[in-house]
Amino acid sequence: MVAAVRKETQALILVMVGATAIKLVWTDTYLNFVKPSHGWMVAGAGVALVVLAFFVALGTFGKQRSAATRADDAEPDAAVAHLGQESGADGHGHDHSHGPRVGWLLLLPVLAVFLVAPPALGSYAASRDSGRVAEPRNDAFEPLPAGDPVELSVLDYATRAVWGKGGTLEGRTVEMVGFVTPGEDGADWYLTRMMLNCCAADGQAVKIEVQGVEAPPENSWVTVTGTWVDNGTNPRTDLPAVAVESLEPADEPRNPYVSY
Amino acid sequence: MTDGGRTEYAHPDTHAAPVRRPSERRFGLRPLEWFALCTIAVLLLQDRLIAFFDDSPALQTWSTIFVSITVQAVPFLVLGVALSAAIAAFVPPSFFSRVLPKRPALAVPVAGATGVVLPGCECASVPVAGSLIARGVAPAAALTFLLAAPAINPIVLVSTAVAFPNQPEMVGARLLASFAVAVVMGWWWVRFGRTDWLRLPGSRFSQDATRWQVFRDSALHDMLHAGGFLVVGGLVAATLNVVVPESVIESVADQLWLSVLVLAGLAVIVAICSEADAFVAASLTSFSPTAQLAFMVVGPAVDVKLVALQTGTFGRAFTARFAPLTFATAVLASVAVGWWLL
Repeated sequence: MVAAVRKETQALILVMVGATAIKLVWTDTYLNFVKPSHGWMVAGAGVALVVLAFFVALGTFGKQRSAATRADDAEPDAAVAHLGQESGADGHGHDHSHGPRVGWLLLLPVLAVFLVAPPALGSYAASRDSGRVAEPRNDAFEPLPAGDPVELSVLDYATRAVWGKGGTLEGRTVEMVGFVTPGEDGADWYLTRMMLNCCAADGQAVKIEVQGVEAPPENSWVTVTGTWVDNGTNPRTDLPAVAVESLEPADEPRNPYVSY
Repeated sequence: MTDGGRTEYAHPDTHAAPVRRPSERRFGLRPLEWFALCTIAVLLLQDRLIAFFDDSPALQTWSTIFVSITVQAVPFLVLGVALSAAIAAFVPPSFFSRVLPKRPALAVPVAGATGVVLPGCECASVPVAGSLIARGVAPAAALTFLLAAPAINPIVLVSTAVAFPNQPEMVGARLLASFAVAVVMGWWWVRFGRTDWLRLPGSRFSQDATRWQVFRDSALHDMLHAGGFLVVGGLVAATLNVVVPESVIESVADQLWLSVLVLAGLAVIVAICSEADAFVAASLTSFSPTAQLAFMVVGPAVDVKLVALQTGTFGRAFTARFAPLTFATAVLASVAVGWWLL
């Protein structure tokens, strides 16, 4: 059923993809999908696509104005909308006078963004993941900055607890922000963040077992203040834990993910 | 294969057989009208669709993964398409004749090295190789370039580095394995290739197009082509990540040869552009780096899109020999380099 693609339609598809990219960066929604450092590239690509579409459309209208005759609704056959006289028999095995049909698929992510508004990865994705922390690149753990409580990212805490054997955490009160994931294997719930290597597609969960406080609603964001407890320091099998002194609801951070 | 939409009917009552115009009508509507209709349908069903997705965290996660691969990869795709369109438009084919040594056996590695410098999306590399052969470049060198340019150009290498930020060795492994595949296939052609397997293609663009027009239209065509296949890759990655049970994935991923062959096969089917395949490979976190490498090395060398392009450009006799051999070489190179470096 999918029809071949005319130049104007091709340009329209590109405009929609470009506009979606620009919109994602403009509204900070891109942070649900990629790292903050990638934002300018996404915006730049969006602008480039819109500019390309503009020039394609310009070329289309230019040719149509200069075409000698026009049928009422059909494109003038040869001298129009597409470049030169690309005929079907140019030996490529597919016709260049119309765009590649697979291009229609580009509308799918546009639809997804505008209709579904995919949220950042949350407790569903985290539940499918063990939550164990991968080995950090740098295993020298500097002492925590001064402050009581000291703000710390979930990733930092987890790495220090399991790979640093809790040394730098002992005796300190820490404050962390994360979302709630249901617990398993005797744990009540986990304070969780999703860690990105590249983009949300490879996101992996970092979980901290929470002790001393009942589980808030699943997938809700909370700020937790507490102290380190030793829950085992084998990175292959143990998850870090924290004994909580106080807990408060929090807003979802602008960038919901963590990364090294 | 499409006939470009020109169909002829024989009407019993009329003398002429009307030919469908390029602005064909399917079921009485033109593409733009279909588009408008679908947009209206989507807007009307919007609330239902949103509720459908909202009720299912699995679907939401699926959508997030799908969109994230697309968003992550689009800038690299744009860059790759822009550069390869620029090369198609502005680099004269005589450049290659001047740069390459005359002896085919020597021209092969040099052509492979040129691939490092000149970005070429797969869509462009096949026609470019065809026009090189038509202008007298040794087929072996042209074919090496066909394999190397999409696989080891700077955009691809940068995107691989971005996709695997904690594994810089993936970039080197990819470069080495893909270069090896390109050179081996080129030398194979020097030894075994026969020109009667090749059907030489015509020129991709008409002679009186200006270079900027060639650039614009190359970019348009390649962007839609590559973008569409990127979406396919994103859909597959999202589905693998959410739908396929982890136990199945893990049982496959644990075995070396099975995991390599599965991802190699996936790369052939998914046909994603080389600037973006690193992001899909990186999302397959359960698989070993060697299997991920196989995905990235096999993809730009042979996939359903390339087979179609090669058949169209060079003919069936060529592709029937070239494609399977390239697949085998790519798998072996990935395993060898993976075992050595990863």
